[in-house]
Amino acid sequence: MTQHDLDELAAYALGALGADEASRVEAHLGACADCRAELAELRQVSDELDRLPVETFVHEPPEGDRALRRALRRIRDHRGRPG
Amino acid sequence: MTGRSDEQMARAVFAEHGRAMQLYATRLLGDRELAEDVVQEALIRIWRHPEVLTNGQGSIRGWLLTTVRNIVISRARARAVRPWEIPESPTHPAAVEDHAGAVVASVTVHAALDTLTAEHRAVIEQVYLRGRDLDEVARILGVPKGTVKSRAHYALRALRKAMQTDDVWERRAQ
Repeated sequence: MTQHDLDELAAYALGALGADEASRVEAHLGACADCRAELAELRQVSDELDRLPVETFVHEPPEGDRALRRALRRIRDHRGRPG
Repeated sequence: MTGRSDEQMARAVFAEHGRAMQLYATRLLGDRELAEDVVQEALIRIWRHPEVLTNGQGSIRGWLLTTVRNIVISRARARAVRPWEIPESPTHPAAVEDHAGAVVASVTVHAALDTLTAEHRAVIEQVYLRGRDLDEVARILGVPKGTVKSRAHYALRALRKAMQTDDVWERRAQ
């Protein structure tokens, strides 16, 4: 990367570049304060994503429903209570 | 709230988020039965706080996963055993219940993700959480590599904007 390439920088911030591409970005970063500032902002976001559990992106349906059935029983018990 | 809608709410929440809660609790606890009990408790908590579903502040998934984590931690503490390391980021202290500000922050990050289009979200999911490189992601999503990069850039900027609006970093500091 010899000039600003913000898309490439985003991929770099996400750790998605191969070694050659990454070292080209790093060479450019050494010489470009604008891109260093941009990278710092992108990194703030990727640091937040780092804190998310991977289960954030699970889309499958639950396996079994015992937890649900037990929760429903407690909800019904609570309703059955006086007051 | 009538009894019937209570139950419908619990069923709907479980159908949509049950698997994520099961996997997260099992990962933290290393035990499916203990995990099931934690999921049950999380369902009870959202039943007690139905406003989470409707107030539009943050994501339900984020609230539930944070709740799962907090239940695991407070139970470990209650048993007065040495709490095991909760695998989170290195900057996040292990086995410490989240402060209110941090809870809001993590829910807000989830909510920011919810604002992305499916296309942008898919790139973040593939690149970031699955640890794939650009060539793999381009192949899986069936788009050119340059498109993956420009979507990654757009997605990070959009997330940053959403997080700034909700003062994520300020809440972290609380």
